[in-house]
Amino acid sequence: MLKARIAGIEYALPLKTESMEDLQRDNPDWDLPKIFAKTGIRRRYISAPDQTAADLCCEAAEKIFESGRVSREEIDGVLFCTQSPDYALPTTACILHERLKLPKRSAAFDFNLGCSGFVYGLAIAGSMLDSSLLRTVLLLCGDTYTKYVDPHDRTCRPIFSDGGSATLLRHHPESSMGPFQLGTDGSGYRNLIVANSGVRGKGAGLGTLHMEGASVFLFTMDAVPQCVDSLLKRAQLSMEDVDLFVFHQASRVVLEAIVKKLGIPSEKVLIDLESIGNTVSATIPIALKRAAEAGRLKSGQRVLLMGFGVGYSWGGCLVQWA
Amino acid sequence: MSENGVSIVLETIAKALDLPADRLNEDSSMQNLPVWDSLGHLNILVALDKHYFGRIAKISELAKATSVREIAAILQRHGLL
Repeated sequence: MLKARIAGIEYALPLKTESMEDLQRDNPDWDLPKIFAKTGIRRRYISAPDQTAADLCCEAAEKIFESGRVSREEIDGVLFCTQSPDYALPTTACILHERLKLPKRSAAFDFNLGCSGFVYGLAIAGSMLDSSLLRTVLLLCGDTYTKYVDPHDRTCRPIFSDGGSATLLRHHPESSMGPFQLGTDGSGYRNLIVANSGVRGKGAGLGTLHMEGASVFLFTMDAVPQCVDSLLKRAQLSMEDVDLFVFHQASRVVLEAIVKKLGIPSEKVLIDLESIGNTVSATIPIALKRAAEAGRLKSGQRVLLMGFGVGYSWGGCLVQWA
Repeated sequence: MSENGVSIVLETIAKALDLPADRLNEDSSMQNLPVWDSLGHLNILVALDKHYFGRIAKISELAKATSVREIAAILQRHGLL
């Protein structure tokens, strides 16, 4: 257990949205009821051409400051999780550090993970807070995958959405985060990839997202239930001890398969996909914020968080909601 | 491959696709069965995983097996039929 706690979450979404009707207009041959049955998503958010994940996370972080929960002077670390950075270099977190006018004593770094990123971010930031290396951290998770998606790709376009989140984490004498269970299976890296997007290959311009849906689905069905079991064993808890399960909001078919396999009662599972879509590393913090606003998540509840996806990479943890 | 083994696969796939079992045979596939689309395929994987007590999710080659014959052959190779 880490001596750290979540002290606030905010998020930002682009202004432009895309509906099922927009998908139909561009792809008259798509069977939308079938697609909805699979995704559970009716509306997604699309970043403007000049809008990046950093812009969205910056907006979310400003909301944290506007809320009065923390001053800029208090922040001594900013961590940015994205797979759509502003540049290959410099580190986008350094740019965000400047834009957010954070103190020069603050650490700032990016880490490149997708749907497991929020849980990894909690593990990294939580460890730094637990050791007192840092006292107050902004964990920013955001992506603009829609910039990588081919408009006629029936696997990816109906799912992915853009968004950014900011999570305020503070050192706290009482442990409220953990344990963690992290995992990786790099053998699946080709099944969710933007090829030619880095130095390997052409490295020229933006590549296109490719997803082998059934392969990623099988990975999820295998890794996630095992990770949940291991995490609960490590915590010496059972399913009944968890008040709410918040999985990465991948798609309806994935969430339903996981829940069914684990045998979790549906009332204990948060599904918040329909009006936002899959915002990659931002899905969990956005779902947490919306659940708290809706009164579904209450102070003192024990929440199991589980991120999984591209890499393959996955991570779960338990959090006592403050 | 035993006849009984194949009939278990046919029954499981038919149930996953919400079809009467007699609509399927060993030659049925994603190519000749419209209801066996990408969502149908995921439903088949879920149904097989349930039938074989979670062992299916470890067999990554099933992701690309899009006919009854291919699925049955993979299951047999893994000692499940």
